Amino acid sequence: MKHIMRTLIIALVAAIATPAMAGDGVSVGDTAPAFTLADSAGNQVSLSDFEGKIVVLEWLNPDCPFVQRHYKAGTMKNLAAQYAGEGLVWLTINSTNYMDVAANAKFKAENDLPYTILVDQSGKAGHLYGAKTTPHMYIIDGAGTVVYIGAIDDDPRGNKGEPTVNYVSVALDEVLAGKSVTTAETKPYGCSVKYKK
Amino acid sequence: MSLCRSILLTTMCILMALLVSPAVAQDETRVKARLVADTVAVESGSTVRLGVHFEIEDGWHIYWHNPGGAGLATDVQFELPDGFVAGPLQWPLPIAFIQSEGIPGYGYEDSVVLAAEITVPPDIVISDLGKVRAEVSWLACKGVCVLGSAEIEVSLAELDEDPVFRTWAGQLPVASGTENLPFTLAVTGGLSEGTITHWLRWSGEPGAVEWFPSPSEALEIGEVRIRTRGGLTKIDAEVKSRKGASGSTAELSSLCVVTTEDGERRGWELTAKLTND
Repeated sequence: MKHIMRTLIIALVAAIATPAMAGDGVSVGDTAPAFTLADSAGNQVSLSDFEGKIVVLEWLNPDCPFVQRHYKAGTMKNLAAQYAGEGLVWLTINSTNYMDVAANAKFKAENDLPYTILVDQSGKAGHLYGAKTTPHMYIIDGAGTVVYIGAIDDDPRGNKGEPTVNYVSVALDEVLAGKSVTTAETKPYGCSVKYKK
Repeated sequence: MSLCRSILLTTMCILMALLVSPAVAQDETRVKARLVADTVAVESGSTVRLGVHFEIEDGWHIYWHNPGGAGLATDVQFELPDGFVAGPLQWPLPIAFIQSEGIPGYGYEDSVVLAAEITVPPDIVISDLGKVRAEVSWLACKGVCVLGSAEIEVSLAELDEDPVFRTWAGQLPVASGTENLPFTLAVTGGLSEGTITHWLRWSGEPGAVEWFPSPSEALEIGEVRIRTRGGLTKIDAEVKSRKGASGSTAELSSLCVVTTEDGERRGWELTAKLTND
């Protein structure tokens, strides 16, 4: 009985997994696709509101231990603050199916976040960009082109010790210096984005 | 900042020390990890298998060395007495599951043993043997995910032959390059085509075929399509290199797994060139 179930599961995984992955998301060099989402205060926010600016997109799930580790360490908040003077826009997107405006507002308040959390319960923006993990990082340059996709750093387990490489910081420095991004794609790590079924 | 880091490190050390326990550990992930060996006695110049047996609570999974589109590979690091050498960790055949819509995952449910061959140096005095320790970390998920870690240890003089090793070798894939395979392999496509196709010609109908790409920082695997008609299996996988990422893009290693009608699973490691260089 168990092996029949196993065979059925194999067929089901093959049937479900493969078409959904087809051509999903954006690639480095693509024009960043437009989106409009409500923020944690209920305001509508569009990517086009930040035309001409460098934008970082960060996929968030407060229940994910990788996200919790980075928020305890202040990784995202410090990075956003570090580049705020350069006109950087930091947009955090939560595509977790069960986290509504109120849940995101609570997380923003608890962590005293200076940046916007966008609520994407339908997963539309997440699928548009092909976000797979929390965190999953994207950088859009001033011309609206995706210039970095991947992990926040090279320390998935959080036990590497110093020095770690923060890929987003390195890429931002290159973008601000007018250079092309050397490490433009890395393997993202973290929990899977908990998309709506 | 450095003071905070010192305090944090000290706290972590204390917590890790508290987690050290003889041979078995469990945390809130409901994953139980214990050290296991395939022998009762370590002998000079011999090779023994030492592993970690994970017992995973129903409905939860931990990850293969390529976790798929998300997740984290389970990690086992052995700390051995001087002169002992651990080979690479050997990974039994994984299963595939859906982590979230469109995100495949590869890993283990129920239980698994991740083990390595340990080469024992010649001229050791058995009575002088100390303990072997394993630092283990894993991500366990069941809708939500929880990180787990443990340090587990056992005295080398007190090993016991664990019954999990009776069937363990049969759960490992057949190494790439082995002769007398039940299929012939041809590979077409590559990085420049954006798709790599493995063609497997079997002597008969193989059963349900699965394909698992090996871990790679430099390669991104997209859509995978597997079709078997009669004795021919075609595995199409979208593949591209990650711009600027570390690691080689010359080859793609993977695993083909067949489940027969009677539930038997067998797997073979495959290696394919991705470029003409």
